[in-house]
Amino acid sequence: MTPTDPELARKLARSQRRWVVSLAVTALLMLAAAAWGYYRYYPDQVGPAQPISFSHHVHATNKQLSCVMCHTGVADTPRAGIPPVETCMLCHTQVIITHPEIRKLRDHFEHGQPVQWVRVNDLPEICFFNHQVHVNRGIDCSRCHGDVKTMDRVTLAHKFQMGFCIQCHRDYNVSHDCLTCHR
Amino acid sequence: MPDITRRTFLQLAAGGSVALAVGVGTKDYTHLVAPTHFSQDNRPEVPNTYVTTCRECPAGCGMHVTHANGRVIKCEGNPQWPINAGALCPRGQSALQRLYDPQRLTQVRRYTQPEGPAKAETLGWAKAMAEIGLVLKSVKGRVTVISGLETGALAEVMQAFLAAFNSDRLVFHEAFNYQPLREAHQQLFGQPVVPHYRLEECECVISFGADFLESWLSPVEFGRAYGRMRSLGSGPTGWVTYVGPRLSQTASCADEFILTRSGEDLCVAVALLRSLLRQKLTKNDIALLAPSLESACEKLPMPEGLDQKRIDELARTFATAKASVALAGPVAASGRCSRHTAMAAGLLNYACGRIGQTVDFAHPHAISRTASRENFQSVLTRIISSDVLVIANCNPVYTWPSCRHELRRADKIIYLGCDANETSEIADWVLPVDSPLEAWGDYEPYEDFNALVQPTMSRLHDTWLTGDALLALAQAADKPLPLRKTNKPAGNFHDWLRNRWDELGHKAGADAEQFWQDSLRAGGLVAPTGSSTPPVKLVATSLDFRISAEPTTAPASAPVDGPELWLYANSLLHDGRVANRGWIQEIPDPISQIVWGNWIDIHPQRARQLGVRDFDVLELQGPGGQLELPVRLTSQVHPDCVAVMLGQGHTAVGMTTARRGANGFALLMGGRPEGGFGRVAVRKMGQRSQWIATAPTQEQFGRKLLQWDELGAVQSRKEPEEIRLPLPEGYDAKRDLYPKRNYKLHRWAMVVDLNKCIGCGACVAACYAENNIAVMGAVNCADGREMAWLKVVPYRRDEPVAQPPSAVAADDSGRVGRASSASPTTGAPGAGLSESGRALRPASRPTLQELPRVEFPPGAVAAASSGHAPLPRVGFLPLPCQQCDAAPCEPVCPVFAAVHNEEGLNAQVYNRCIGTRYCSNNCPYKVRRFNWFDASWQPPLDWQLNPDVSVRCRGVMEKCTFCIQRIHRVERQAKLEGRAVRDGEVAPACVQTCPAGVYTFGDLLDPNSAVSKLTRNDVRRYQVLGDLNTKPAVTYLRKVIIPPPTGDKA
Repeated sequence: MTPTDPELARKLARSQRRWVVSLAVTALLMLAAAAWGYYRYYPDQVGPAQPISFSHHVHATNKQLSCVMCHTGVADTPRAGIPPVETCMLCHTQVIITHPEIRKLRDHFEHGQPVQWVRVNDLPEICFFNHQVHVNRGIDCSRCHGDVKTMDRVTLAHKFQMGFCIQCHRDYNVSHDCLTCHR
Repeated sequence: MPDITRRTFLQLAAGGSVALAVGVGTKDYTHLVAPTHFSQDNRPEVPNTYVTTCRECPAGCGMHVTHANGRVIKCEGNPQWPINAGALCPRGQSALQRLYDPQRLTQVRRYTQPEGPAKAETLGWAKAMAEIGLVLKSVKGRVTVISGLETGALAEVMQAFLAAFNSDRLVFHEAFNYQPLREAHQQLFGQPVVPHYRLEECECVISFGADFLESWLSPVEFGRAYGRMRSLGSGPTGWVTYVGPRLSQTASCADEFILTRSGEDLCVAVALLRSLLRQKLTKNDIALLAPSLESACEKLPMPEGLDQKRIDELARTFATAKASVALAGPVAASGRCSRHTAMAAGLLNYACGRIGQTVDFAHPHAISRTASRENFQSVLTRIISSDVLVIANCNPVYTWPSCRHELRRADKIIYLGCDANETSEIADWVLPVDSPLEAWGDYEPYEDFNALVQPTMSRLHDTWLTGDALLALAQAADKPLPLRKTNKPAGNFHDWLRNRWDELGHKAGADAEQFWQDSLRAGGLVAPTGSSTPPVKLVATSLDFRISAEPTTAPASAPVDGPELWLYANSLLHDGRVANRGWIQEIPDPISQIVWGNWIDIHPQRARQLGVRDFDVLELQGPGGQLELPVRLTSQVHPDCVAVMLGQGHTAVGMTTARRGANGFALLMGGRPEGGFGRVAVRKMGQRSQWIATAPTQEQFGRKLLQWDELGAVQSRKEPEEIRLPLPEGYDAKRDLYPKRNYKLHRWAMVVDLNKCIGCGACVAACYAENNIAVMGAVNCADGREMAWLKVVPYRRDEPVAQPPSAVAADDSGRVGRASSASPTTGAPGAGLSESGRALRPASRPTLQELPRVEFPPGAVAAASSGHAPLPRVGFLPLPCQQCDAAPCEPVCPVFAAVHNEEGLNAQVYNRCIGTRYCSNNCPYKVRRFNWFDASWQPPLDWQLNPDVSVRCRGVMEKCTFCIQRIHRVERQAKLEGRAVRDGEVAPACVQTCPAGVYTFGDLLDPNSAVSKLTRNDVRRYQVLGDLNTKPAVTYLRKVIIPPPTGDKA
């Protein structure tokens, strides 16, 4: 039934409008808050979904684990290395054993099935990069990989194009020899 | 060009985008896969090394197998192993191509109709074992095992296996069994063995057709000794005389090459013996044999051009040298004459007291355990239709073609092997076994030299160890083989091996586990037990040396003047077991530079008689069969001889090798010939067939690429010749067009001592392995598109005047080459390239017929200044990129893909290269290679690729980098350890593997480095084409011509 009194109708319409406006404003505010929160916590956006939802943020920031705890090869081999599942199991046989993602992990471990992580940082085949040399020189991981500590799902901080490498080599006044990286 | 409409363009663009989006031709790099468990051995991109022993020939060299990302990528020599001390021949280095052979046996198969179209059935190991077990249980005849040479645990298992079936028919079959040598030693000393020849300290080596630098017994060991013999400066220079009918690689490395008929080497040997007796130079008394020697000398003709004076000199040199040795070959001979030559050589060693000094009978070679031709033949003859044959890791149907039918007489043939080959084709069961790089085992090349074979990567296919298969077969036949120690059935072959090594450890008085671990780390154990064997005594009382001119076993069709056959093996193919490997086929034969096939070497004189030219196909009819091959006219064989290389002509060894050349063993069947190999009938077939050579000529056309020095000149020269150093100090503003180059930390450079190079091709194989060089195949090689970054090219010494072909054809009797000493182009060494020299350089690759030929007459002696006319010698020139300081390749590159790096290398930046090929056109050394195609490695051959080096794509130029990845590895390590790079620490692949120590590599900026000292001070130094002012960083040391020693004490 439509109100016949025009005054009442106006009143109703106004209150409806106010309701809608306040709803919209609240939604906008919430969105803004969510966006602020998102960019506050994920300044580099979110990376691809991984087969096991591992969070670097939780491990490196909350639990204060060092990068080399898992990426053991970084200081003495060309590759930083993806840790074997056994590394995860060092802790996760003791803590958070029943979480569904940890169960998945344990399944991999017990069945000898490697986890196929989605590659985020990629270097073309024509380039030969050596972590050992850079890390021993004191270059922080974040220089190339961004602030991984803040990332839940790791994302690409810098595109690894030649300019990126050369800029740094210029800054540090180190080799510009082509054969350093290409051979 | 057709008009492209808008529609077509859009279609193409859309298609291209889709292709790009789905990633055509790219690998999946989107995932990172980490193992589930820790592994010390398998860290990404960290090479690991496993110590094992090479089983590609019976020499028994130690190997370090490099392993990256779980895959074997390279085989190098084990620096600790006394036989090869870090060096490895091309065959050994290609061991991983057997492991990754795409045509390898991978499944257990049963063939129902081995003759005719075989019907194969694939079955699992368990089922096959059960079935064969049943056969073995009910076997009525004998069980026979025919195997490649094995010692140690596997030999024990084989013996035990046969004993379980009341049989003793174990035959170790090797194509090269050195039977004449063993028979000679039996006859002379009552010891039918091949002794350990120690060439290290020798000052004089006389080889009677023994190609000890390429295929004879232990080439890497002897190559090392040769290198040491050739290092000038310390002690006297060694002297090598080669007597034989063909200029082999060893002959070209000798100081004196006496070209003989294939029986006349015996004459030289006997003449030497008589000369020793007459000059009273013998240390051990052989006077008893004097009458037979005198009478033999009466009967035997002396080779043309050799006089008694030279024989006396040589005998004196041999007898008065501190150490010397006489060797007798050739590898595949079985003839009576070869035995007589071996006896004469043995007597030479005995008479001069070399037994116990350089000839060590206390540690005989394992090859002494192989079956003689008669033994093998008798086993073949006794095969009856109820017998069961087990053939393991050998290919008798190829090396002894007539045995095919005799083997097939057996009821069942069980073949255990790695590769499909002619023998596996006739088997009822084919059981795939591990390649030596996947296997446990041991090998004892010389007595008391115990070497271990250990797996270097996990199995690629469903294969078993040979030993395990035999143990399982015995088990399946209800006759389990007991271990000696426990007398309980052996679980597996590894237990058996451990048992044997525990015993060895016990003998050495060591803790078993510690001994095992130490042996694994060292690659084995060498513990000579001293000379417990009684001294070698001469037991022969009379000798009957003769060569028979009349063939007795030649077929009736053979004309009396049919040439002598000479079969030889080169440093690559050996007896043909390694034939199905790209590297082995594509690395050129050291002397002829022919790839992908074999050919007949024939002297132009005989060719004229037969009316054949190069590439004409000849048929050779031997005692047991015939073959057809194209001929190569060369004066490097005796006119009375045709030479054929062994190892080709496989009919069943995979795609790489199928229908390449012809099998020389086919000529060898039948009884034992009188001479080395007997005579053959020759017939011209009328058709022509091209052999493919990567270097069309050995002439230098006055370019002085490979230079020689007389020993006297070397010793009297005080100052080295002027060269232009590839350093800032080599810059001269008046002469140089390009600006001075300065180097920061290093200037890498190389010195190549040509006096040591034996041309074996080990460096080339190492280069292929290290740098992912593609194998292009026969067709592309014929087009000159081979990709080798490093070539070892044979060049002749005497540089002839280039003549038009007609003039040469008119006079090909050997005068052309000898006239050259007076030729105007032969100026003082290093005098520079004359205008005429420049004009002589062919504009494009000339065809063979256009090239002038140089020949030398038979019977002549190639001693340099002994009064004989000097003959054109052949030397080997290893030619990598010269890494020039003023590199002609660099300024012409429009995109700066060819650039100079901070350490002096001419870098080639593949990702910049657009393939103009200007750099290659402008390179005077022609060491740049263009990728005409996208190279492909048929899986699993792609697993051999070195992850440290790019795989180049089509349209890109590539070249030697001095193994930049190896340089970087050392530099990085030094940096991390906070020190400077040590001299000698950096070794490119070629330097690492060279048996003779030809290469010296290092930093030219460091005045104390070995390379610096040699480059700056060595009086033999020169630069190839140095007068072009390219300032190459590779400095060569001239080959040295030693005047024949007279043997008189100075």
